[in-house]
Amino acid sequence: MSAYAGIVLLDLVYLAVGAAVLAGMGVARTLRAQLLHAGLALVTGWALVGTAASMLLTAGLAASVWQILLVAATFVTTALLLARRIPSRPARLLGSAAGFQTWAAVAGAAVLVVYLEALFWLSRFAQPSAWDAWSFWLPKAKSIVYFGGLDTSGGGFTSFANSDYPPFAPAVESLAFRFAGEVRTDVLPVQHWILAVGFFGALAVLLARRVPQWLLWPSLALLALMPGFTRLVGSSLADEPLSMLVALAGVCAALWLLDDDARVVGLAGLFLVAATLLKNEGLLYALLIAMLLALVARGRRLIVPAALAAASVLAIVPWKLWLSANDIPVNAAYDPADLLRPRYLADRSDRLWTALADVPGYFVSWDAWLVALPLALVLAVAVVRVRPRLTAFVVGTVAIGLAGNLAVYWVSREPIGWYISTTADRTSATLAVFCAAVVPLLAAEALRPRRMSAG
Amino acid sequence: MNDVRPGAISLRARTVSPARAAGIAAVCVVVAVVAWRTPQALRDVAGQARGLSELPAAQREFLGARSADLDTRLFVEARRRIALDETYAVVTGPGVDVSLAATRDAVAPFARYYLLPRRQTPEPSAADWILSFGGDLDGLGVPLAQRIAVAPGVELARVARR
Repeated sequence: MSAYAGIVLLDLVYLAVGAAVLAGMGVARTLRAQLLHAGLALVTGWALVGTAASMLLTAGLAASVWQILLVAATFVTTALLLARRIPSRPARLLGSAAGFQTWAAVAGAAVLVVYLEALFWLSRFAQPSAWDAWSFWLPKAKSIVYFGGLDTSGGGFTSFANSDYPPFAPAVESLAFRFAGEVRTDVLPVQHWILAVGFFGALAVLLARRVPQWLLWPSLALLALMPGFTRLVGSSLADEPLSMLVALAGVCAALWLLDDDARVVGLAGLFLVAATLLKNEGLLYALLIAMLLALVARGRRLIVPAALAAASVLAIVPWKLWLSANDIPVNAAYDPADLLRPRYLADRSDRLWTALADVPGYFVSWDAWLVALPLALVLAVAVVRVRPRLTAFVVGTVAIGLAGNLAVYWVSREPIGWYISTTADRTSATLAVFCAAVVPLLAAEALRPRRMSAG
Repeated sequence: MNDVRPGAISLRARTVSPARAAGIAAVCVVVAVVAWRTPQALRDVAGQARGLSELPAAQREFLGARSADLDTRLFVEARRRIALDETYAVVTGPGVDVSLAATRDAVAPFARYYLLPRRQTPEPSAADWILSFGGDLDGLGVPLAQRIAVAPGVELARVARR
């Protein structure tokens, strides 16, 4: 079996798990609905299986092929049993209007498809070449396969840089190696491309609940065309899946604010748990989204944001216990506890000014993110009277996310200029992709006739 | 979703509120950026794909090393000679001219990436092999059974077992 056939098999496992979960939640139970939700199913299955693989590794297992197939079968069985109890509530998607709007939808979708096809050929011949990819993300993944799990001896999983980072990204890369039948890094860009296609399919079917086709497809094309996003796809940097997971979770959370559909917030929970296990920043984004939902959804079921926060915190506990049990040092680049030391902060105030002067430019860089962030902010402010909760959620996410980035550069012990120049183009990805993902939702709310209830 | 009935959304309307004006402007911006950006983006991606496809597969694996201006012959030789269950250490020094400040810092992590499952150890005396990138092998005080010059200042050495 060729390595690429193994990759396809792995993605079929992800797809089967995700499709069963969506059926179990009552989101998609007919063949047509399953086809429409295939992208969402793929990403959901990947997030769930990746989370399970992380847990297996933390428990001392190898996350081998048979273990993953057993986990996948358990997920599918459980989801199908749930389907017998949970009533079907299929999402109603907005169709396309006649006239020039149809042409806008077709043209936008065509640009997206053609660009993704071009990205496929780039992925087919690419190899991950970013410093962080080959210096620790991929060696960690290789070591899982070669040494049968999280090996803490010399040359093993914990001997690489950032050894305290959670294991989701190496875990899913190791699954690609295992299903490919050999440790071959050249298959990874294609696997990441498949997930990127799933990401666009997921965004499309989620946003189509409230965004018309003529607005949806050009907006997704805009997201795909962002040079920073193109650079991330296939890079094997954790910022790539982190930006996708936070964007999907953010869109689900925004839809919950507008529609009060518990099923989308359940999906947000899955994505945020996966993000938490991807990178240390993932937990911060999970708590940020939960906190903002709690603030803007006052008077509405606070149990929902509380559950989101609790799920993410609980998900990271086994990893923290594992780090402690194995005496793994925490990341030396920065310690969030330093934010509580006024004198330390005052002594380093020059770093804050440097960060304030240099970092925001990365978030609004045309060369990386086109117009994503300014467009989302302008639209969020524009809909403040009709969708105040949505405005507060989007503006809050951007403001606190940016402030969090600045805080890291402020308290870090790394040389500030070097630290910003080597990381800000990637750390800006999460907010930029989130902004690009909510642009069509915000634009649709701005254009919606005003007889609708406020969200 | 059933409790929401979104109405038809169209660019056409009798009245234009500030929110609606912003929405229309956003649509125009999205369409304009996509139309303006697509040709160049497609050319860029196709050009990169073409450039990569013309490289031999073995060379593509070294793209990361090349971005740090590493001499990749050291790693090829090490992979050829070091057995999968043997260990190695990396020493660097001024014995090689480098064009980037990060080049010497990249040797050990790239070796870890490329040479797995061979394990890297920080202590040369505890290793089976030593990869030297401009390092002073004589000054290590480690008995060597074999020295293989890969390039000027770049050596692979087998540690003598007592």
